[in-house]
Amino acid sequence: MGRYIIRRILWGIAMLFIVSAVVFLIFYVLPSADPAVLRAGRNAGPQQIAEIRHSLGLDKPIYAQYVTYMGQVFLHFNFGFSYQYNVPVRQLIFSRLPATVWLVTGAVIIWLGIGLSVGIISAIRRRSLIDRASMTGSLALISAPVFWLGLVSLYLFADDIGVWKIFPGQGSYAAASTFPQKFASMILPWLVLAAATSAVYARYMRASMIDTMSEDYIRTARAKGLPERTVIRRHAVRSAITPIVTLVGLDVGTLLAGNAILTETVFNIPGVGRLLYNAINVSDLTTIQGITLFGAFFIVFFNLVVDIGYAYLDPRVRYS
Amino acid sequence: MGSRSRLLGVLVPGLLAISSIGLAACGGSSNSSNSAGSSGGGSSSSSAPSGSNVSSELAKFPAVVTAPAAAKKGGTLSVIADGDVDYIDPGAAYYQPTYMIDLAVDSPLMGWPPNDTAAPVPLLASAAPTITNSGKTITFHIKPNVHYSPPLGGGTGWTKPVVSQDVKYAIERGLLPGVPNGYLGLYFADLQGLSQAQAAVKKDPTKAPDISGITTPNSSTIVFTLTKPSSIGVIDALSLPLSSPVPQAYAAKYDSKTPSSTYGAHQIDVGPYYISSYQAGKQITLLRNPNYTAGSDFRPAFVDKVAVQEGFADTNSAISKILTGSDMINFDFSATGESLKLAATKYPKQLTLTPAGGNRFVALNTQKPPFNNINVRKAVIAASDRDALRNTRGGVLAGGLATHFIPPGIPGYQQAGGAAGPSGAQFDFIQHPTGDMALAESYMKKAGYSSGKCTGNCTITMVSGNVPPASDTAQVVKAQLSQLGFNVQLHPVEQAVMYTKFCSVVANEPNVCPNVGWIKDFNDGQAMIDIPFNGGTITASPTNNSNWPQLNNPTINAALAAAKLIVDPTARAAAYGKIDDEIMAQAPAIPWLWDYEANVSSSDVLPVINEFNGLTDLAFTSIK
Amino acid sequence: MSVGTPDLLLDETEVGAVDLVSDEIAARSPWELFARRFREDKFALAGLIFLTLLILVAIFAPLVCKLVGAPGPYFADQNALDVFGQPTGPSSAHIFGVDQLGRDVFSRVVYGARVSLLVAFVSTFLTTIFGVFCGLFAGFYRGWIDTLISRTIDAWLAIPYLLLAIGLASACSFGNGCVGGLIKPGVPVVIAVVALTSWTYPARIIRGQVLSIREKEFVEASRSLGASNFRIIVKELLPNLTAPIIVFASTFLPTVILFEAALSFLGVGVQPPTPSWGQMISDASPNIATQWWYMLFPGLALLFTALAFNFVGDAMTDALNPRARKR
Repeated sequence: MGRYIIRRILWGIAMLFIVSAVVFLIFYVLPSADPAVLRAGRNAGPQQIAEIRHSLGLDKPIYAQYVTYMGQVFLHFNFGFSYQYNVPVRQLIFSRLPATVWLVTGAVIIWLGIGLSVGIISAIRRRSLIDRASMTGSLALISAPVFWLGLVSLYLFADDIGVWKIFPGQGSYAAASTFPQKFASMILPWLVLAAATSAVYARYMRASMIDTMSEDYIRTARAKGLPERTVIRRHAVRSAITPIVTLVGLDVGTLLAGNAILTETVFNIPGVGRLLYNAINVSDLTTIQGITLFGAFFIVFFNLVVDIGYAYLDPRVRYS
Repeated sequence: MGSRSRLLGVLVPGLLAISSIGLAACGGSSNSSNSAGSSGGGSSSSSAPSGSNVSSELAKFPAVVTAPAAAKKGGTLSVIADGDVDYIDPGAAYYQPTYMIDLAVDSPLMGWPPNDTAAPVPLLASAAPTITNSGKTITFHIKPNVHYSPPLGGGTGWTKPVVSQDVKYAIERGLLPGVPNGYLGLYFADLQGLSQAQAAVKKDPTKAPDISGITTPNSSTIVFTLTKPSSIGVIDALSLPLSSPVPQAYAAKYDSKTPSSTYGAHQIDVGPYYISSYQAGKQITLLRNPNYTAGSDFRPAFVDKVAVQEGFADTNSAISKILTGSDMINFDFSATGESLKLAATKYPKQLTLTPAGGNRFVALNTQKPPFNNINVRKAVIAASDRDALRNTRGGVLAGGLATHFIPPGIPGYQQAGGAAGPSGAQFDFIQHPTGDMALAESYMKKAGYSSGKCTGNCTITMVSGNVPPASDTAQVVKAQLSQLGFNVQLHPVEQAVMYTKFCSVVANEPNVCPNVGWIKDFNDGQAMIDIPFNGGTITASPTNNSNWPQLNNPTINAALAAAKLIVDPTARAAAYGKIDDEIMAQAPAIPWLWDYEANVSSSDVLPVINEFNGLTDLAFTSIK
Repeated sequence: MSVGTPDLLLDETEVGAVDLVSDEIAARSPWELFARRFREDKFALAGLIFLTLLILVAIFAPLVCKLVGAPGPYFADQNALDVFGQPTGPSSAHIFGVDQLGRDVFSRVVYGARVSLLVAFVSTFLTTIFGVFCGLFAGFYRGWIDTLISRTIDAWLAIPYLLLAIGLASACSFGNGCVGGLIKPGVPVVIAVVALTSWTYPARIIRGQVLSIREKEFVEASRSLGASNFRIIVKELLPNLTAPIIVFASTFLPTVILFEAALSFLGVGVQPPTPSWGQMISDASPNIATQWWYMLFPGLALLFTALAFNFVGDAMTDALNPRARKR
């Protein structure tokens, strides 16, 4: 087990290096704004821009820049300075992370709660009306673009522009100062982000439950006279949930890495996804690299946790 | 002089590089007249410039420019903002909305009462300056017993009163790289000793250099000595926040920091208000300055507190919030068409429109085919539906349809043809606001395309902004160009990138830059058409070029150089009007809008608009 | 890609299920399975009919617009904008209203189908081909090829796909595009982005499949008869991969529809004035409170199209997965 963990961790670190190198390369060749010009500001003449290039190390060969950058990251936890916002990248990311964490945490709780329960119930009552309705409904939710769902929900329920003025609308998270205000401002975003994902999880859970319930040991448990409730809860669900764990890890990792951008855009939430998008638009290289590294770290980390957990539960996996 | 981007707080032309252009003397008195474009200089209570398609909408939403007689003291005014000031340091500020705050907390030597657009009046100065030595020496006396506010960020501050040395230091610190002032090198170019000071600060960037042309014979007198008689321009520029006093002994320790001075976060103010707290990107709070003597200048200061709240990224909901709420006004966003509609139809009394003193045009790169051919350019202008372009910014309330480059309110506007534009057969291509395809095709034929549309290699490049309304305007331009057979490759990018990488870089400029324009610094023809159409601009800063059409016509260049030196206001206006028409005759761009500045306020606010910058004047606005 | 269909990440259970197809029900052809399935499943049938109609509408878009009396997707009708430059809603002249530039929304929805369908089919085709090749080689040859490809897949999955998509799209959207003009701005860029970000999914699936099939007796038998690697791949492996390939493709299609819409919504997909449903929604988003029509109709188009693809894809998956059917 120990060797497996060490192997996975080493591979995880290697991946971080690879990913950051790839990103470095991509944005080095992007023909967008010159970061030196962005930094120089308004009155820069060509001399000044050249000086700034030199002071920022932009005239060194790309591999030298890369090595310097990675050294700073791993030795000093310093992700550089954002040319656009004029603050250290680390500070910038950490200032945006809370919003994304708010969004993802709430959404995860909702989609796991709804998705898993709907999946379990549908599996138990297969081919019933509930099953068909929930599976068709979940398919509809999966088919709706999440940004459109967001706009429709604002149109219907936002307290400033909605038909039924119930929930705080677009931009309310940024304006919120107290915890209850923040919580309320997140309700619509949570529901929207969780909608499609809970549908996905419902379908997965249902398939997983169906497969598990056809296993022999379930038949044995029933034969032993255990009440159906216990059979389901203690045996079927436990076993059916394991593949879902993989999914959650991947999903949370990618959302924290910036995949929540569509929801963040529609609801004007100042999160990491939106920051990444803006940074790409102005070629704010250090911010892009910083977020990508963070994101890759989250993805790798969650994958690692999930893999190790899986290996712990299923010994066969360790030897693959 | 500001490129359109100044309104969006992005970039300003490389002014240090064109330090040779200075404003020439405009006459001895400070009341240079301007043409009938505005009621400037007088004390009328509302402004509605004459001119057919311009005034009807303005008359419906007139701006109040003097404090109403029944204005009450007290209350908190909330200012709803999208972004932040460009710099909280008054020495570095060069962003139109920042001036809303600076006009209330700073006291430069000269100032602008809301109803004055002709010339500034004394503010910190006790009286108008005396000009001697054939316009090369300007002497100011400053008011006595002016004290500084408590400092932003806490601490002991500065208890001594304002002395003339403080004004001298305030200007000199603008040369520090940590206080990146955007207009020192332009407007004060003729100060004696400026270049030596610029060299000195290069050697030691932590200490503000001494400019020998600014002297303080005693603590209430300050004298500016110039190398050329450009006193009018210098006096105008002394109304900008740079000359608001800063005591050296207090600020030097902050100004010595690199890369940026930290004075802004610890500033002390002398206006009727002072900045009591500032969180970048979040809020700015202004309180009454306890050390300000009420009545010492023309600012009445009615409200007790001003709270600027930032981060309202969605313009529509921000404006809706202001219109339906209380005690609020807008800061830096330009009203979208939808919000203009809301305000005009449901809350007409809470909307004011003022001519912004700016224009918008679609620049055609005259140095690259196909637009190096004047007939092709005329064809494009003839084909353009300027009404459709204006629709992208809100229709009739967005502004007047432009027919040349000097907007209403700036001397030279009427002389250039006013609302109808230049007349005569040679200007037929600009006389159809909704476009005239037949005329366009005839010009194409003159250019050598026998079918009336482009044939052969017809691919042209266009770089625009990537958010509405800029992206919408670009779409309309593209569609119009396609009608003439051009294959337009449109590349939408972030606004800043559009300038820094493409449109303002001579080597990289595409064929068409549809989202450019110009806004005045002062009410003068030179401020509107010199930089954007002068060939000298191109060579002065090829990586920060604001002559987007890259027009380099020797006749026009010479005329501009000559007009700079004209002193008599009437002759000056006539000269610039004529040049405007000459520029139009070259068809370098499609002028399509003379903007209105739209301001909204809550129902219980009595806003007073400062005509100089078109923004609400915080020191004159009150709450019912 | 996580907010998409579940079946992209076919896990062990489903892979194992499909695995059964190859040796148990070799006799019945996929087409027979589909026919039976679609006869039973009304939703899938409805989806199929909808898609056929959509394809026809997309192909005959100009005709459809003319029949309805719509002026086409590029004509900016200034009369349909009010004095504030704001668009008017559904009317007799424009049955779905106009967008912010006065262009007819109905025409743009119809023409938008062309973009969505084209991107969906072409990118699915390319992604599948590329992914299958990689998976095939990785699973069959094993050794260092497998390690190389598998590790690349792992690392690829750690790159935020959005970063890749936006970066690639903005890099290649200007002038002559990338790779010497091979990836031109517009639809080709979107196709390239989809293929480059998604090839890892079929690669993984196919690799897993190949790994299990190659140990089967019939492969061993073929090898002992002296068949070359090429022959084994073509004659033994590929036919048994048709099922998972079809399953992947049919469940991938709806995600591409939504992915392209998302890219266009963010402004890095299909560029205006070419109509794209996602971009229309993006244009509409600042003003949805008062101008609901050009947000609603493209969104419904997306919803129904993705739903139809999902119904059909579901039916295909179930048809090829007898274990799920039996119970």
